[in-house]
Amino acid sequence: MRVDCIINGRGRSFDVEPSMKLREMLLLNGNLAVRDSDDAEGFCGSDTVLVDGTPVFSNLVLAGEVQGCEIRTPDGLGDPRHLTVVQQAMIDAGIVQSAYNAPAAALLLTWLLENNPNPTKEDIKDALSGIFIRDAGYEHYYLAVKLAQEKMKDGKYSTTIAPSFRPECEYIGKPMSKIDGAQLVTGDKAFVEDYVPSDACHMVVLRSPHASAYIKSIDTSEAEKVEGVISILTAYNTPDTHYMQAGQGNPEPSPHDRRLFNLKVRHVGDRVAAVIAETLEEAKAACKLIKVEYEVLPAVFTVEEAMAPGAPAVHDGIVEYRAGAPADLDEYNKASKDPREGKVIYQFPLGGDIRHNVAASNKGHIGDVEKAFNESDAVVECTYQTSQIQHTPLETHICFAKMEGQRLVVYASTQVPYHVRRIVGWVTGLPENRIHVIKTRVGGGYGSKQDILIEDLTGYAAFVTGKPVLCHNTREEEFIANSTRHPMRVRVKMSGNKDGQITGIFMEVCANTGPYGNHCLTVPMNSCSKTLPLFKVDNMAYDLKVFYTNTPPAGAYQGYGTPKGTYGLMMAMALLAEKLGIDYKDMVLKNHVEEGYMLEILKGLGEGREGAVVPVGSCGLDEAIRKGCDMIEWGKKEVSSDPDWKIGKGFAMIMQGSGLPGLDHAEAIAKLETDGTIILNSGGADLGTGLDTISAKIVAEVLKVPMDRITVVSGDTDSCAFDTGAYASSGTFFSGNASLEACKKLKDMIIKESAYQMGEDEGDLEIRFPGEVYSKKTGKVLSYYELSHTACSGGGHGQMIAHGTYITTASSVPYGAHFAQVAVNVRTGEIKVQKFYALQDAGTPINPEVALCQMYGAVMKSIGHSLYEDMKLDENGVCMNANMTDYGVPMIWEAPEDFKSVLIDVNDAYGPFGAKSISEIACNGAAPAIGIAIHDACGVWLTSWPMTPEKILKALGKI
Amino acid sequence: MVENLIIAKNIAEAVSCKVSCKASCKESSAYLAGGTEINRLNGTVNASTLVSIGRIAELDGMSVVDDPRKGSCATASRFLRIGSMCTFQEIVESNDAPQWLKDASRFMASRTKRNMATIGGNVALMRDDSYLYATLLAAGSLLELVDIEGNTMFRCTRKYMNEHESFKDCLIAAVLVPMNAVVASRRYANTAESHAVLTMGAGIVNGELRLAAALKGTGVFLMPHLSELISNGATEDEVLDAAKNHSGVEVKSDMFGGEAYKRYLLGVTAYDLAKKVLSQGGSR
Ligand SMILES: Cc1cc2nc3c(=O)[nH]c(=O)nc-3n(C[C@H](O)[C@H](O)[C@H](O)COP(=O)(O)OP(=O)(O)OC[C@H]3O[C@@H](n4cnc5c(N)ncnc54)[C@H](O)[C@@H]3O)c2cc1C
Ligand code: FES
Repeated sequence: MRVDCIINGRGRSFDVEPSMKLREMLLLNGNLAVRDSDDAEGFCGSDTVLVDGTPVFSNLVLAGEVQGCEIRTPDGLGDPRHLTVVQQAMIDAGIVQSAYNAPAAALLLTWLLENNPNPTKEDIKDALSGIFIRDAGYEHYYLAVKLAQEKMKDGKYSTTIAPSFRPECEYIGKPMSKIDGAQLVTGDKAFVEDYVPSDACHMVVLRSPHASAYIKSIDTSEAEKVEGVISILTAYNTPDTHYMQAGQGNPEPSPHDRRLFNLKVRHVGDRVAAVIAETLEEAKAACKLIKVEYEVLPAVFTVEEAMAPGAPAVHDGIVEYRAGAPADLDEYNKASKDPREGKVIYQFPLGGDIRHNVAASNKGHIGDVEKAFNESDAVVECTYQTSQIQHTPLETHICFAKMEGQRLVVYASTQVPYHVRRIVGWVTGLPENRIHVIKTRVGGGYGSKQDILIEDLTGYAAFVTGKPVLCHNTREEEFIANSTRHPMRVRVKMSGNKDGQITGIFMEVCANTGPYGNHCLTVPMNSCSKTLPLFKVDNMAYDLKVFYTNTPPAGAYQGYGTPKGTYGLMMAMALLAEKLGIDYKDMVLKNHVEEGYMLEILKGLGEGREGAVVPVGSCGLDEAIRKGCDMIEWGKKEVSSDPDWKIGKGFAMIMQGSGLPGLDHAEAIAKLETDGTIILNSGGADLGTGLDTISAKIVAEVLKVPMDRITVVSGDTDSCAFDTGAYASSGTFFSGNASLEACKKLKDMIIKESAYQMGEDEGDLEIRFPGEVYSKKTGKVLSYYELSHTACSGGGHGQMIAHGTYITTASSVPYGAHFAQVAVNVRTGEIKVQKFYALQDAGTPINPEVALCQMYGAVMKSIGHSLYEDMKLDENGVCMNANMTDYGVPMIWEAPEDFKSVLIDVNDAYGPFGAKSISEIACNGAAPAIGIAIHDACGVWLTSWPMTPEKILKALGKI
Repeated sequence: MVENLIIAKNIAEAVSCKVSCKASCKESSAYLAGGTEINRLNGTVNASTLVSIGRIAELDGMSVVDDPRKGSCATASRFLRIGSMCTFQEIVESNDAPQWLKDASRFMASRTKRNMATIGGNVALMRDDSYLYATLLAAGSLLELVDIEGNTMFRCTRKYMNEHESFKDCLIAAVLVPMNAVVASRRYANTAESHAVLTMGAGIVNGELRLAAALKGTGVFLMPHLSELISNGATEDEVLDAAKNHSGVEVKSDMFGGEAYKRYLLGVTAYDLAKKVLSQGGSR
């Protein structure tokens, strides 16, 4: 049917099929910023457009219905060089982060202000109620509106966007526009999907309907007949290479326990076959025609089932060790009967015992906990359970790969481009020089894009077919076939004396890694290694076991295992304080570490190696606790006017790391271009968190050049140098330090070359703004332009290029305390988070406004896992809520009414300009803070998350 | 898969399209209103022909009318006639719509969805997590229906619920809500955007307490048993006990909640809402 309409002010005509959605029509028209995050579920709002002035979801409108209508799309607002006031205000407020649906949000705020120039907070909430923001939270959206209003009215902002730090610095610690903000907020080409040519082939994966089964046969003959089918990949025609999908250092502690396709499927959603076809429809149609015969096996879904005597083994194949094989390995392997089980290859011993479903284990201690328990005034013991959580990035996993001559080019939305290259190299057999990974902008990662979940197969498919291949996960696949937060059971035993001193802590952690061992030791280890060092306690021990099960896979998620360990430890401490009759705050203040305290516990936390004992470095923990207690008025009992609602307060102290000392590695290359501008090639992977802006600010600060004369190229494995990637909170600390190192070296080169060209002594020269060299002796000035031009045109020593590398054994730990005030309805069990205050010591926050939004976003995610989010499996392992609506992510209505992020000013000795990490740690506090507040409100301890109304009612004895 | 999209200009055309689809027997057809159910992922409506009713002026707007039925089971003398194509947002913004209906319309938490979804679509679906149905039912609302012969009839929401199948080809032209009714409602869901485990409405209809619920896994239903108990002065514990043990309503445990939780919510909410409407002018 024919549709005539106006799109962004221009008349357009289309011939559309009756089933065509408005979004598809707009994509044909080139409106790429009208995106989709949920396969037309009508939840996320990435597809929002205005039809005749009203915001609608373009995925839920048929194209045929807009005949004669006027349509506005986000890309019609302003382009990167001509931003609208609203777009600029969004960038300035720090909310344009991973930004997959930032253009849609810009459209909504524009619409709001056009129709209501003075909106209230409720009006803003209402306008944004149809859009899911996972990265930055909603809090600074109110600020963005305020800034836009001020700019429209007075031509300038009068509100302070964020606090500034380090007055001696020009750029560091100052709120400034994120350098990729304009590209992202306008919906300019940025994400993998924007780089896919129209002739790309599509890959669709056939997935297992069973939680555990051997594949007896696969018949692809009918599927192959479907027109457009190019290739069908199965276990029978793909390499027998065992590898793993975790993007961590090499050799990584995750066992190599999978192949591209296995002959045993281990979870509902596991790969069975992949169809590559010319169109998506053809690939889907062919998938349906593949006939698979399964031999269904019993499955295990919980750690209790996995550890039960006689439990079916998820992996029962041959075990190999690349180093440190036990003496009885041959004997151990005799138990493996069926070659379809494949292998589990450990890089080094991890304490695994696959016959009993143990993927990895570890234990360690200091002092004597048993003695402490026996000799203390009180002992508490409790078990805390956490559920399976999905990251739900707005951009689902996507990869596009193609051959260019003899080279494989992979466009990836990834946190770890160099690990993508290595792992794609493993499965294709290509050496790294023949693989080029291009990390585009990432529409949300949160750890899920630290795993190489689709790049392995997409790269392989492009390599064997020679065709350009696109793979784009559905939202359902994100739930059933991606990584998730490991469900864990944490048993804590804690003892203390009447004076409030904690005398002993024991943690038993049982983690569920699902069918494969991505990060199976590191993530669960964080539940101990990023929690126990908060305590000034002489006797501490932990015992950790990680189990294989047949649930959807687990992997890295912002915070790793720390949110779960923190939940258990803080809840147990509050329980102990109650038992001893001590105020919880007093107990926390008495037992937390401070700068200089020797962390003996680190000895036992080295993941197999003996860890080095180091003192606590820069530490804003005490200040965060005291300030937060003042803000929330700790000790003051709040009373609701409605007697059904009881109000309570809680808090938790938190920590994380800043990368992995001794393991992580970053590189950067700084180049003075011939016109005196600077290009920094950073190996770091900016996920929207502002890492490229941090690098640019470091260049500007060290080399004294304006930001617009700096370009940061990052995450491109051809043009940048190796970096372990953006995970474990390493970005600012490692990649930032590498950039700093490169800039310092470039500065030395500039001085040296200038001395040569100016005929002066190096000691008399200094660099100054806006990019020039000045002689303190003669007063002569040489601009970077003149310097570089001469250097590269026969009169000097050639282009100045400096290479910075950063490795360290230093550990810069961010600390903080999160506070919650909740109201609990004791008749209905409903829970409201009324107040949430997140106070964090991030060292020097290089991008303070972005840092605050990182905190808001992470807290929202953790409020999500504390109260709402939960992947629910039925008795066959089928995820029953693999969609956004039923899964339960928090949106604007769930945000605390009074929500504050506060940066504690601490200067770190090792971070670039004193910076530490910011965002992962912010996932750790909500569950215990809310759990303790719930107890304060109504007297019940909820020992499993999500803490739901139903659990409240049960605990209160009402049901 | 949608093969035909017909944009109807008026009710007669919409109905005749539906008739011809029915006659051809080959095609399934459905009226397309806001499209938020029909066009969404895993939507429950499957039709090869969609008859868009979005441009039919008679289905828009709100006006106050007298009881259109001659006397029988009158619930009020004056009604607000809400055209079935009125969106949730139009109701929220309307000067005429009663507050209780605005409150219930806000149960749809997403503004963008409220801009699209219509009252007619919501009523036609009558889902077990329906935003509006329980409240409309408790209020004693009426539906203006047009059957495939083009006849207009008025049916109360109770009858429509009880005989849902038989009305499935009817076009809902309008929803008539009683003016000055005393109505209250509550909704329980994991997050504001999640599907509800329970949405309950309470109203005073013809002087009597009427409680209605949309319960996940069960559906939409009236609760005369609890209404009567409460009207007779039962205590909260008695109401909770009755909800717990009432075998007239089949309640299933599912991912939205266990049976005990759902029954408890039914009881406690019935008691609270009843108290509220009774205190606002209803009599026992
Ligand atoms: C993310 C999401 C979550 C949702 N959650 C809920 C929920 O929790 N509860 C809920 O109730 N709904 C839910 N919905 C569904 C939907 O938004 C509402 O029910 C809405 O009111 C349907 O109205 P519509 O105009 O969009 O209907 P449409 O999608 O246009 O139509 C829905 C059905 O009603 C029929 N119909 C529409 N108008 C008429 C009419 N005038 N006469 C006869 N038949 C008609 C159609 O033929 C079709 O069968 C959800 C939708 C989305 C996208
Ligand atoms: S339907 Fe709106 S983002 Fe998918």
